[in-house]
Amino acid sequence: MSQPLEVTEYDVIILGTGLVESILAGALARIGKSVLHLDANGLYGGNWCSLNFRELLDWVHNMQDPPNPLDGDDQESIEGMQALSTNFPIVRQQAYSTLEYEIYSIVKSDDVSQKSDEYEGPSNSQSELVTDANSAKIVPDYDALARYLLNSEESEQNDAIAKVITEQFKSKILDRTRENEEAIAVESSRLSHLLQLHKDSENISEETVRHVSTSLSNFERIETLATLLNESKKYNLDLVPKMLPCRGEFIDTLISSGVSRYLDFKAMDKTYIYSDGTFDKVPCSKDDVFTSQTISFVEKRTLMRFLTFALDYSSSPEVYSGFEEKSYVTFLREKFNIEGKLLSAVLYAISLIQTEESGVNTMQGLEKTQRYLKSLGRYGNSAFLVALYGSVSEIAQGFCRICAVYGGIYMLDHPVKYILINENSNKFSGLVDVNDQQLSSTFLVATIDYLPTKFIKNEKWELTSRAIVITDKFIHEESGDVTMTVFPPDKVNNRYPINVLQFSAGTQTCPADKYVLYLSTKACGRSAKEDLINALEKLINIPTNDNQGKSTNEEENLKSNPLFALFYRYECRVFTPDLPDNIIVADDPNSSLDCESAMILAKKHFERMCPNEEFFPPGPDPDEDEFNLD
Amino acid sequence: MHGVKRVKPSAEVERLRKEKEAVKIKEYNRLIASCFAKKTNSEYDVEAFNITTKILSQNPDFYTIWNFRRTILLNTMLKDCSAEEKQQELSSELLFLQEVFRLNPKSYWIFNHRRWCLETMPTPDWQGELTLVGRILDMDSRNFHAWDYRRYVISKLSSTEAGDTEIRKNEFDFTTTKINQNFSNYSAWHQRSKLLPRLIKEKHLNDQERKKMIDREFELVKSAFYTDPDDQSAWLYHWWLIGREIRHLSILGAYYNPKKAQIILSFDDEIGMLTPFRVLYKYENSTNVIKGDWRSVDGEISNEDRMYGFVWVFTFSGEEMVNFSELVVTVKPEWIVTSHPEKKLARTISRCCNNGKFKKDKDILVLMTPKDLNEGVADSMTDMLSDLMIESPDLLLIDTPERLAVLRREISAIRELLDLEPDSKWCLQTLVNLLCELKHISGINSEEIAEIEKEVVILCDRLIHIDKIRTKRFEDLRSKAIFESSTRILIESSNIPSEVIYKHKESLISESTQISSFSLADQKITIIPLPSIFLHIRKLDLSLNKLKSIKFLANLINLQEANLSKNCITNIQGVHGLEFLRHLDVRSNLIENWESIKNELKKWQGDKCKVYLYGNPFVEISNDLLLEQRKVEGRVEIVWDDS
Repeated sequence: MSQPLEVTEYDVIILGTGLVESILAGALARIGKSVLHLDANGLYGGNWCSLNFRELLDWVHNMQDPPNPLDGDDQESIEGMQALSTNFPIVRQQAYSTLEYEIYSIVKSDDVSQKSDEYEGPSNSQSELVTDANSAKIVPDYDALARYLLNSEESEQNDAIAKVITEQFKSKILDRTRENEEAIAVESSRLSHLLQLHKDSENISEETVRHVSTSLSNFERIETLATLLNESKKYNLDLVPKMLPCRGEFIDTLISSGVSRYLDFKAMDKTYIYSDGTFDKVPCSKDDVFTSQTISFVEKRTLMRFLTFALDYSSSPEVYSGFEEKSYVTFLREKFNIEGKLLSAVLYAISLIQTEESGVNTMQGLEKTQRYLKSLGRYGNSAFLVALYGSVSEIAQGFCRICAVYGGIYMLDHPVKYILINENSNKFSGLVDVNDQQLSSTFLVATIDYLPTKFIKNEKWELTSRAIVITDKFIHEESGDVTMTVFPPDKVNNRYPINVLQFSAGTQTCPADKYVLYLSTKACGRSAKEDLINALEKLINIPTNDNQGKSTNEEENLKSNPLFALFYRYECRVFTPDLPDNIIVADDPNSSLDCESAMILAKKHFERMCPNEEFFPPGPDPDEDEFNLD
Repeated sequence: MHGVKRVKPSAEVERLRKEKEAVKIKEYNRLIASCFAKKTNSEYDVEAFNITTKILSQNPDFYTIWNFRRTILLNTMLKDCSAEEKQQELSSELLFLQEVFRLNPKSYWIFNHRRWCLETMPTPDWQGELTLVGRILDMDSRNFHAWDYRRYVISKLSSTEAGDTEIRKNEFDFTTTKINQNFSNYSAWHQRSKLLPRLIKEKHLNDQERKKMIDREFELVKSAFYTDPDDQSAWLYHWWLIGREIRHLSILGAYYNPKKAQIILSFDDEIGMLTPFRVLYKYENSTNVIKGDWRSVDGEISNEDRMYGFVWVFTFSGEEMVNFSELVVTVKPEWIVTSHPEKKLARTISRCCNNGKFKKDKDILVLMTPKDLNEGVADSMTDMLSDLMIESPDLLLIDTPERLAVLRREISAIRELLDLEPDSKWCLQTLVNLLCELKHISGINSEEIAEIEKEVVILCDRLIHIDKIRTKRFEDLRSKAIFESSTRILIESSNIPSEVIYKHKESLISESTQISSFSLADQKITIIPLPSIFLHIRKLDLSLNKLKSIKFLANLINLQEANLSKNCITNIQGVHGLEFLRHLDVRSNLIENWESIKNELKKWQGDKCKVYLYGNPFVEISNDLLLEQRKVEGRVEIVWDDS
């Protein structure tokens, strides 16, 4: 329990450290507002967070666990104010659905040339933990596995158990035999039992126990899990990966606020589009069109004509007049003769349309295309940047840092018990924190997770199916730090386009020999997995029960193999109209691939709260120092 | 930083900045003064050197200072020192250059000084220079100073190292990389055009490989102009790839005029005479050179004191040429220059005629027939051509059948693009070029030529409309096409003898065997590209065109009647030597000056001639009285009214 706060009155209290909240925190502190910024979680980012592998598994288990029933009454009165209890864990959990994950057995490479010193093994003497003489690639750390299974790194008692587990698994896995396989199965069930026993004291959830038990049912999966856990800290896995358009409100604000100084970026390399079994590189810029081998000369011209027009479409309205309300596809077909693969590329890889063909009209489409084109050429031949060490949470933290520089107070792992509402005026007046300290402010900024349930609408808003997949190879021939792959609608039995971002180690989100795939699409089937699995199968080898861990043919040997896949759905939620007007709801991460809308929304909220203030006024110009020195 | 709005500095900051600047200017001027003082006094000391360092660090474009710096280096630092010290000294000089380069990456003097340093150095590191210039081009891929320097470094590398071809291959790949990054890069394409022919030659490719390599270039450049048809760097490379057919200069006619003792040679291009053509006569087994003067009929003296013209006249000096059995005129290719480098006289030409077979009647020109013309002509011609082509290292070797195929393929590719971009001026122009090349290639039948000419006129009409800045150029091009198509008919129908044809023909040319009149009215023609073709024309109608000048008339030595009314002629220069001219109609033109007409007509030597001047600006503003006074002495009659 932290110390009570000395100051209890603030201009703004902000709950949650997601992107929109953090931008607001920075912007408000920057103009001199006193800001108290709290997060119920122990890390930054809220629903926009980046997690290491172990944290991700914990997060999954948390989301799958039935949350504890509410303590405290829903409505209580404190000093004449209505005290509405917050139900952070429950509300947050409701946003995520159809979670399922899979740990895959590691496919052994026959390539003898793989050197073991490329990979960091555990630092202790157990570095002989080589599972296969010919494949030194995987060096699982069973200590990490054991510690993970016990969900603790500290307790002495657990250390002892960990040692037992380590020994048990290590020796048996190193010497694969049928007897050992059976022994492992016995060991697993024994372990499950052990975990059950420790469940209460170690705060281990039912779900964890269940998952651990299933993961341990196959000893090859134990290896994978141990490997992933061993390198856990090298992962920065985004729940909602986002790219940064090279031109727009977001990047302008990053620069004007000075947050860009805290960040490093990589430019997105290439975009691929799937069509009938192949992935084609999408020519997005003039140079791409010139060098493209996949489109014909006539298509080059057709595409360039369109792109040149779209970059400045408003100056030739005669071109689209009459098509404004018609679908974008009709416009592209009739006015520019864009058909087939090229049409898909324009719609889904350049304009990044997230719905079915007919879902976008000409004006919306042109706006999207233009936004993409305008982003090209500023930072090389790419329209997007990706922040390193987790694509969003680093940016959010950067804004928090600005807030702190201008006097904002930060407390993580700091839940809120009640939100206080003045019943007469229906205004937010303060809150009661985990220490039972009463804090007040003029405005409350909060993500919907922190709102009392009565303010949350029971209505589906925007449901996105997502997946995080860890693989062992790059999915396309030409590697790069960040690539995007698009599956247009109906290509893999999908109603909506599926976007896949692949991050390599250069983005500092995974170890050197691993790759992370982020899949997303608008939800339409029964589960996230159902929405995405077909696309995933085109990209990587998904083992079936028959060919578990064994490649069946050459082609599949070349394809990358998964180590881990997590599927989930995330729902953007809506608040009710009777929400007090001095509570600003920080928006949930939406389905778009870029984070531009987060900035636009944050700015909008800022302007509502401080109508006459400048949003991130420029700081002192570093160039002028020369003159100010003397 | 990008995207940051620059805030205007306050008045105070601005004042401080100005004050600081004033100090800097004062200091700079002081440095310059002391530097020049040192220079005047030939003080080549370390102090002077340091002053140049200071000045050049602020202004690397001050070439006088660079020159002085070199003098100091040679007289002081590099004097009597070991090779090692020399190397050391110049290496630090190179480092200094790298620093000042940041101030101006496009300074001639920095690159110049750098070359000097490296060439003065005992052991220059050319490989290092290549890396450096590579980096400079990474910063700005279109810095032509850097490209030029790169070529220089490469030439040094290939003179010192084995594996020249390898170096050129790497260079070629380097241009590919740069072009892929941004193909709007003249320098990179240019570099490529320099490397490609040499690579093809050096790699000893077989026909198939060579063809493949050239085709790849066409693919690359096609990709560029399909991507951006407005980018001319790609088009220019395409034009270079297409190249220009070596065209034969030919003699349209060679005549002896016994009455005047003159030889007349008519060429199908404007040529300049480097060495006078040789004229010999044979009489009773002895051969002698005839003295005389060559003069082109338009007789203009160019800057190099050399005449240019289509029709050349040799006038015997003094001797009465009655007795000769044979008269021979010889023209060697090296004796002439043409107006286009790709137009050549393929071989030595001799023309001859015999005395006595003709009556010395009036007006009769004796045709001089080719001498020693044997059946092997075609072979010797090819030899000559291939020699010409090997001589120029910057051309791609493409033989005629292959070239024909390439032209046809490219024409259809451009037509396809034109369907998509009907208003692309580069595309239209390229098509015109390609069609004109196709027309000149051998093996094209006259039907197709007529089609090409028709299309060129249509394309030019579009270009005139689209590319307003170059309207005149396309009007000329269009005129050329119209002219060529109408004169081709003239040639075909009239037996104006072309070299080979008149081997067995009548050797006497008289009025009756020639077409004597030609009309090309109302065609918006701006130029007459080949006036020598009208050598025998007596009656010419070019009214209702857009001709600006009638200088070309000088070539029409048999002209009697010319209708040039309703054109854009501003003076009548070119007519004074036309002795048979009787009727010159230049009504409704743009002549503004009576003096110029008077001067031209003053030189008139011929018979009675009527000149029609009605409807010109200077006539319209003059009253009758004034016109009455305007007269030319001699046999010229001016007709002022519209009759």
